[in-house]
Amino acid sequence: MNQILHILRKDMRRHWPEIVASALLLAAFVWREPREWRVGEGFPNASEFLLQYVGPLLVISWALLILRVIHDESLVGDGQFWVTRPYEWKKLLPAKVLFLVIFVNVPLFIAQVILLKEADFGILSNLLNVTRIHLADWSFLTIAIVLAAITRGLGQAGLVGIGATVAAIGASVLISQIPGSSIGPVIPVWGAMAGWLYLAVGLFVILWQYARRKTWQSRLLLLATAGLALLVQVLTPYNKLIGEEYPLKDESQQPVRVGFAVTQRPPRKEGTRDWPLPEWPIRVPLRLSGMASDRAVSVKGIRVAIDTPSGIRWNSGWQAGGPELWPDENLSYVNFQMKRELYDKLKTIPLKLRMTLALAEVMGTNAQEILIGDGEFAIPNVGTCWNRSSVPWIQCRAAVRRPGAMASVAGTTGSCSRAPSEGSSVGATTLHALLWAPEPDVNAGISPVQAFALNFSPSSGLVSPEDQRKIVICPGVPMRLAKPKIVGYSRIEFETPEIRLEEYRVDF
Amino acid sequence: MTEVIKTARLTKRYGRIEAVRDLNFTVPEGAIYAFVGPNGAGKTTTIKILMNIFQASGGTAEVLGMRSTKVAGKVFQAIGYVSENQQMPEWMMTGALLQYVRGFYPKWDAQLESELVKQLNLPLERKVRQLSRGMKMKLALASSMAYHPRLIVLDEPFGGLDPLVRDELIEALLERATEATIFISSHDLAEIESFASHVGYMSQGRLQFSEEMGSLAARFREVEVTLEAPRSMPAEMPNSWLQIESAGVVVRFVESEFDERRTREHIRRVFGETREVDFRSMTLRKIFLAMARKGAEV
Repeated sequence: MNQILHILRKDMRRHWPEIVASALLLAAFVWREPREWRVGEGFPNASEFLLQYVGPLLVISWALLILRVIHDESLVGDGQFWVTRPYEWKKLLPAKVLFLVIFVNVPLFIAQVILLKEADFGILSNLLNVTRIHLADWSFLTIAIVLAAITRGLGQAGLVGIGATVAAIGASVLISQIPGSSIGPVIPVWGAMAGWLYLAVGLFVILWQYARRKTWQSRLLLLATAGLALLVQVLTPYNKLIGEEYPLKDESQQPVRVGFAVTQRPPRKEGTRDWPLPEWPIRVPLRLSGMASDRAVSVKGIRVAIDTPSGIRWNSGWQAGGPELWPDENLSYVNFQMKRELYDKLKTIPLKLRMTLALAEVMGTNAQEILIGDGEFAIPNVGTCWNRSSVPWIQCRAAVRRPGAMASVAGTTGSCSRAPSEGSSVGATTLHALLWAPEPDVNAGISPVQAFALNFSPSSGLVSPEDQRKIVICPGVPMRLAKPKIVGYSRIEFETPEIRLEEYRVDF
Repeated sequence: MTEVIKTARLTKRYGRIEAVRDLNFTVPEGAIYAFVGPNGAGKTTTIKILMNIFQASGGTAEVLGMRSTKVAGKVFQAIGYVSENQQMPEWMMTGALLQYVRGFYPKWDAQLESELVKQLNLPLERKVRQLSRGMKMKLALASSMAYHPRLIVLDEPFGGLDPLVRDELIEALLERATEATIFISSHDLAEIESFASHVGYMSQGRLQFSEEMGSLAARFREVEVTLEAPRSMPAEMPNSWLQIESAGVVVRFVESEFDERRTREHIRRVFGETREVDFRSMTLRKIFLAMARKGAEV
């Protein structure tokens, strides 16, 4: 223990400027953060506007602190002073960890307590989850420690960091090109596995470097792990997995009956610009029916196949993302992307689309009904929300864990100041919002206060675009709020009648 | 006598290059062992293997009775290591560095530290980065001697130092030589000749010889033979004769296995009756030059 404290004292003397800098940034973060929660308070002047970068700067200052303190007893090279002194690596490593706990975790914990208090959340009741934030944060601190453990100095670490970031972006772009690679629930499982793999290898590299200082072996191990992770992601049979995860079901077991909605496409606006990207989005209208009243359906993916009489065959592969479908809706839209060259070739030809949708059936649990307040109001088991009465969303904040929410509320067009009889009501159409809780429920971060918005949208096709822009949520109306839970996955296939793609493309 | 350092077929390869090859030598306790050889001979690599900074590709090395791969942590409480390539904590004050290092050694001798600081004129209030190269070496030496190490390893400690600083370092070193074994590498023979008790000579990754200075000096002689009349050199010469040259009636060579009676006998057998035979002692430098030119093991 003496040696640990001895090294710690030396590091404190050495790195006080970095410690002070990160403490000042953390103080600025604590001062600024509550303004983020309350929409409308804003920032009074330009200098405060600059403070929006305080979060990233704080993270950078911690990364620098880690790099500097680890590099003090560099694990790379053969000329280090400490290597031929009676340092014991089993004490050197704890000394560094203790330093980071004292100068990263302790100040952060104090800041989090202040923020919880500022947000009117209990401190003791959230203590366990705040600790979980710190554990999650350590998985990110580990990245900086690994970087420091395999590099000689700040310059080298910077270059390796930039190189790794570029490689990660390149890999994610590569993976995103693979159809189906971003459709859950396959991806979160793989993502979690990859995360644990990286963490395990990272911890091993740190221990290996401190115990043996085998830098090239460590670097190769990291590269091999990244390569293996990339290879697994590239070689994953996404189509097969999605097919198994989203089985075809009888019509009676399907959460919703879906078909092509034969509607007249609205006339294109004058002055519509060309879509700037190489892929053209096509919007397909869906006719909906048969949904249970307490359910919603989330379209997780779409696959489109075209087989023209002239012999052109095309399959989009699984493309991620789609709308949420609600029981009171009878119309919705899904989008898919097509290469421009192909689109230009096919746009005027009458053709049929064979559509496949991957659906997740969502049920609301622990439902409660609350009255929308004017300004700030509390929602049990969620947190504190803020209604501006002039927009179709509600800004909320929760302690540590952002909850999932499946919410429905009656919207109003125009202003809440008018009497209900004077306002132009949206009628029977309710507004819906579906917000998934993050996985895992506690993530790495700085603030223990999770700010989020419940973005409400009206049922498709029932409100004109002009009216949509005027929708507000007025105080006093009831909101049904439940916790979303996926109760089943399924796949739906149907074929459109002959259509011309140019009539369904999305304008920009 | 206990062996403080012992190697057996020690080898270090970098790809296809053998930096150190089949190294066998021992350093007895109490010796001042001069590990000499030209730049690139493999001296620093050998020392770094001994200090467990590098791993050997083959063979073994023992330091203070344990495998060099185990030399770490507390073992360094008995070893002082000073290298010209060592990166010191440049941000520290000289005094603060000594104070910091002190915490790692239970046997740190504050009195000795003060003496060394005084003897080596170390400026305690100056940052390490502001020190000259000579001062840094003095500081490294002081911080490696103040805990009475059993073994002091110095890797090219005098390179690039002015003679005054070098003498100060040697003086400080020799004053403590009685309590420690000193293993010192150098490519400059003259600077260690005066105080080394043992010498090992490396060249191209191989140890050419390793022995006591006394026996080395005793077995090498420059020999000048004056013949009665000029004559051609015989084809057969003793293997121990190196650098044989002749000019008229004078023949010169280096005897590497000198024993006066036996050498005279060899001369008589090779040249017959001679007018005069003169034996001269050799400096370490001349011995190494003769060895280097021969390019073979003795």
